[in-house]
Amino acid sequence: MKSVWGILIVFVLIIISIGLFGLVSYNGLIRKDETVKQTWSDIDAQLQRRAELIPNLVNTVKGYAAHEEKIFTEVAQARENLVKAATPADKAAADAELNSAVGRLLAIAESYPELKAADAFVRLQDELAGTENRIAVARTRYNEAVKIYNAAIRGIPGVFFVKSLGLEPASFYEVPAGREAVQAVPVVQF
Amino acid sequence: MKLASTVSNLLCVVLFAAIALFSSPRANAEFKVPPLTGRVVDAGNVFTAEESAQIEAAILRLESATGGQMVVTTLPSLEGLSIEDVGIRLGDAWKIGNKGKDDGAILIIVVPERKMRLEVGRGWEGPINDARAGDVIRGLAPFFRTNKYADGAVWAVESVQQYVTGKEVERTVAVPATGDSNTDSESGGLLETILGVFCSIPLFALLFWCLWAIFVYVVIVPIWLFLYLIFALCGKQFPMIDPAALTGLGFLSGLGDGGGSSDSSSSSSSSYSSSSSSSSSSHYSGGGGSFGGGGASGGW
Repeated sequence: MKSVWGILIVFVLIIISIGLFGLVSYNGLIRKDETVKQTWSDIDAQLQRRAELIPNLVNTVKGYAAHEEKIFTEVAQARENLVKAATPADKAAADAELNSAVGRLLAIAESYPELKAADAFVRLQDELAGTENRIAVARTRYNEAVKIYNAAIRGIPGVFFVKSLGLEPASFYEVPAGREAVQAVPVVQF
Repeated sequence: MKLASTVSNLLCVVLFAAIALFSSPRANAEFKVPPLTGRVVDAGNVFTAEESAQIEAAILRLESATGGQMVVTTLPSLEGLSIEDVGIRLGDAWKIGNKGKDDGAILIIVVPERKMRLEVGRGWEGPINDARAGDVIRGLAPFFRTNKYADGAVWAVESVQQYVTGKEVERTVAVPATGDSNTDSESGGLLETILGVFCSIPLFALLFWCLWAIFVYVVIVPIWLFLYLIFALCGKQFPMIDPAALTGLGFLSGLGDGGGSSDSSSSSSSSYSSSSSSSSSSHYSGGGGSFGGGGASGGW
């Protein structure tokens, strides 16, 4: 009678709210996954851009300091490693090595005053500094997105959807311990 | 009777859930993003009112010529962060530039630390590439070395306009020759600052804020939750609000990850704090533009 209807209604409401909840968390998971992918492609784009700047830099320095062969080969090698790297952890390590090599190249350039004053070199330094910053920003955003996504997959509603969506935990973009290199790109100074 | 008591019970549960959901504490950086009070945010008290108006006029000319947005801001301190970090936080919080086009720029001047940065939105990274941003920064050095901060800011705004439109801009300030005498532009207007402080803490404003905070949490939040769920059911995303931002409660920043907001770098809540009764704010807000870290920094 009356109480049976009451219980039925409450039951239906509970089912509906569970359904809503499930729907919201499912959508949320999808969105988080997409955010991880998008922020990763941001990092990739910036690394690409940096890889394209490096040959310019090397050529400019060569124009003034042609006999510094060793550092040129080091930079070229590090750049190739970065292009070949695939996983986020690999890319991070290759990125750090390239940073260190470029830093040494710029340090060498310090001792050639004509090169330092050359317009092309100054502008390249601007571009490099800008790209470094963009990589730092993209990396922060990616790691943040990975954190949120990983937490969601392991949390309560997310863990039910993992199999059906085929989701895997994402890895952070950070230098593995023991392979840290010094970030040595000098800031534009006056 | 029974209905009334169940409804009030339900309301209590919702209220509790809302507070629990929204009050997830996040580690707050010491750096606080200043509220976006206008096109010129003089948190470092560098410009006089006249100078701010002059800069704002230049920015208005830029806006009508380019369709984008620009903000000039001074800060009292970087609180130990790098200026690049501060730049991206301001960009994320203020969202200068139009959504989708990302055509915005922020000029940041920190006088006590002698650092400046031109943060360029994603959409303007083409016309204002890093080298050009570097040119602007280098061009600002002679202005700032002679304490001509406002003139420098106007020059920078005009340079940005010139780069974006590709057309020559009529310059209203002259680049100082190196070795100019130290023209002392009054930093701020001390009297105006004191008056502003006194007029902005009347007791009734405080009381009003308390009532507003209660209203937000008790009424607005549950209604918003409900609407959010309804919209989620329809497959559309309803924007999540940040009640901490609405009430200006900095310590309750952050959002529960209920629906998954895609804005992943929101660790600093931009506090649109309760407007003081004396501020004549023509309501200015960012257009939703996003920043990717482009631009250039320097010092003088």
